[in-house]
Amino acid sequence: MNDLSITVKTGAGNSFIDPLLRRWREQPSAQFGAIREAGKWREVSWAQFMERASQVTAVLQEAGVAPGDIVPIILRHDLDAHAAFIGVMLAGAVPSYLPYPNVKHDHVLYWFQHKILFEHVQPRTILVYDELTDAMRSCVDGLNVSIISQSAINAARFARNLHLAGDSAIALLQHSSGTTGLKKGVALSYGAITLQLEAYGAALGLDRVQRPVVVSWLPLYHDMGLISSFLMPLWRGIPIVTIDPFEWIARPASMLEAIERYRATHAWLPNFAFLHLSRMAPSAASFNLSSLEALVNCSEPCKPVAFDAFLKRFSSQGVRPEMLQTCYAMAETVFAVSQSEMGRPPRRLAVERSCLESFGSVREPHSSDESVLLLSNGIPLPGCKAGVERDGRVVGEREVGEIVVGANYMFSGYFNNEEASRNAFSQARFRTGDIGFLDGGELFVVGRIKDIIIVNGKNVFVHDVEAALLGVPGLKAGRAVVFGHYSDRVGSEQIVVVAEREGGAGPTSTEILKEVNRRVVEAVGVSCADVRLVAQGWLVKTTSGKLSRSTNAHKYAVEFRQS
Amino acid sequence: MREFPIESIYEIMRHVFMLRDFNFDSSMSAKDVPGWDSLNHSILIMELSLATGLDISAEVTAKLSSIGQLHAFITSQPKVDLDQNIVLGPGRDGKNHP
Repeated sequence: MNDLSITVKTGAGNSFIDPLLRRWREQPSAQFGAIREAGKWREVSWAQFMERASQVTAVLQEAGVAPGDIVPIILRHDLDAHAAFIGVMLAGAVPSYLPYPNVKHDHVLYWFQHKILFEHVQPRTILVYDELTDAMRSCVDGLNVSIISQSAINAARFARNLHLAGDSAIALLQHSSGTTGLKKGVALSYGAITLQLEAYGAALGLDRVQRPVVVSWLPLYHDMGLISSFLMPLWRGIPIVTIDPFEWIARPASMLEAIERYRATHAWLPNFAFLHLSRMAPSAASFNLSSLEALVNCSEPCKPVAFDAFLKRFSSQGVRPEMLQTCYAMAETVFAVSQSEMGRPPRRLAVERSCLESFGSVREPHSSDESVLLLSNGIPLPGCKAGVERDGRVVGEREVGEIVVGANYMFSGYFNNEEASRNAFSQARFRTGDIGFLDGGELFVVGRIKDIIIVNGKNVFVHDVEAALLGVPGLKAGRAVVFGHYSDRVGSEQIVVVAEREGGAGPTSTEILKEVNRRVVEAVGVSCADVRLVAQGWLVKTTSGKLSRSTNAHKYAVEFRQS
Repeated sequence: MREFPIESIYEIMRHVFMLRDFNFDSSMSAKDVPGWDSLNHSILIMELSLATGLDISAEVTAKLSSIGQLHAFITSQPKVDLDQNIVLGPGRDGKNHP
């Protein structure tokens, strides 16, 4: 592709797109990577990738998409899903990945939630896989939105005029799921993205790695999948080897096969995945994993037991302790806030359990019963400052509170949501909603304040689950709490519902459990791990008369989970 | 056809999903059962594979829509008569074994 004609919107360069275009001109046969499609590996060159992106650009321009327009993308995990994101950027528009409906989701609720989202962000056009076209048309009926089906890309020629926004323009939107999350689209500028990618790449020591290759099964609509495992390697010219998340869940060994086949050096995984791989990789199979430089644990609190299980299972296959790393990240800072030091295992710290349950000073444990072992999430990246706040004041090291961050790659705000954007900051510091402390300059992240349960890396809003419980036959109205409970077995938080039963004859326990779980799965796409029916009066209220989530969570843990 | 009572599937599910008193029935699907998510489905299939001696695919079974269908899938797998004399070919020691 030698005759690109580029119109730059602001007259300045675009620090994210420019390297991609340069590589397209100068190294068209360089590797974009490999994508697992229909059970086979499809290897893709840089030229193939950018040409496909350019076809998407042409389709969008033909449809009248203008610079600055929002373009949601709902595609399956294939080459087009990756290329389309860049294709939207090449049109100067703003891409936003959204998950496609899965069999568990209540489809009525899925489309209801997405209609709210589309009314909120007012996209110009939505790019969907072919089978979703009719349903999407019904969803946006009455809105001024056009739908582009994936197969339209095939007939398109390459775009000749690319309209690039400048660094201060919004590059992308990222949304969490659920009714609550969909209205908080994180807007990130190109400039913020490249500042993060530079800082994070430096923290990872990527320039020192001879032949870096990133392997991933993470969904693209999640910040870890989007930034660490797609945009960062893409920007740096690192080959990406990618597997559909649903394939990985059913066959975790597919990731290990990919590491061996492509001599992958880096991968990012939520905590539960280390345990899942340890448990589910076929015992008879052996993989050569010695090419790995770092497997980075992120997106959930990182637990030592997950690393220990993984090492026990795979140390004979080339995994060394210093490969297992941790990171603390969020979409609001593009991705990484902190990263553990490459080349050595992250620090472990034993603390007294009770000091983590209520904000206070970190204490050494007096006995093993009281002890909880934490993993450091590393030191903040260059350009990022992390602190801990309690009662509106920043506190010192070894004091537990809410983690607050400031960085020169902060998000531009929640798209079209001034109130949420305003409430997110405390004296110019971003309130993360995570609980933790600093020790020796290193961040230790221990949980969440916000009403979010992170289940296998996915954010589930408690409000969405509680709403799903309204009107379940057999439950006493208004007498149910929902909270997250960390499972050592799974390595992740799980949804727990504790609900008081109505008196008298009514549905059986099984019928109630079934109905609760069905409604929760339909609402948030995630099963409850435990639905506990209790007698009336079991649930504890606060002094203001509301059901106390934290007190009841503690009561549940003591009565039902300790044995 | 292979014999494997559906009650055995219920017992394995009670163990995997930690539901001691849950009354399963063949019409139930993952949505109806707390704890039956994608991860636990993989674990369930691993346990069923061990119990039946079959190599069951989590990918294939994830598409089945009820416990009854899962049971039908398992029992439809061919039975191997372990009492029959079968020439397996050279073993690891290079010798034929009956």
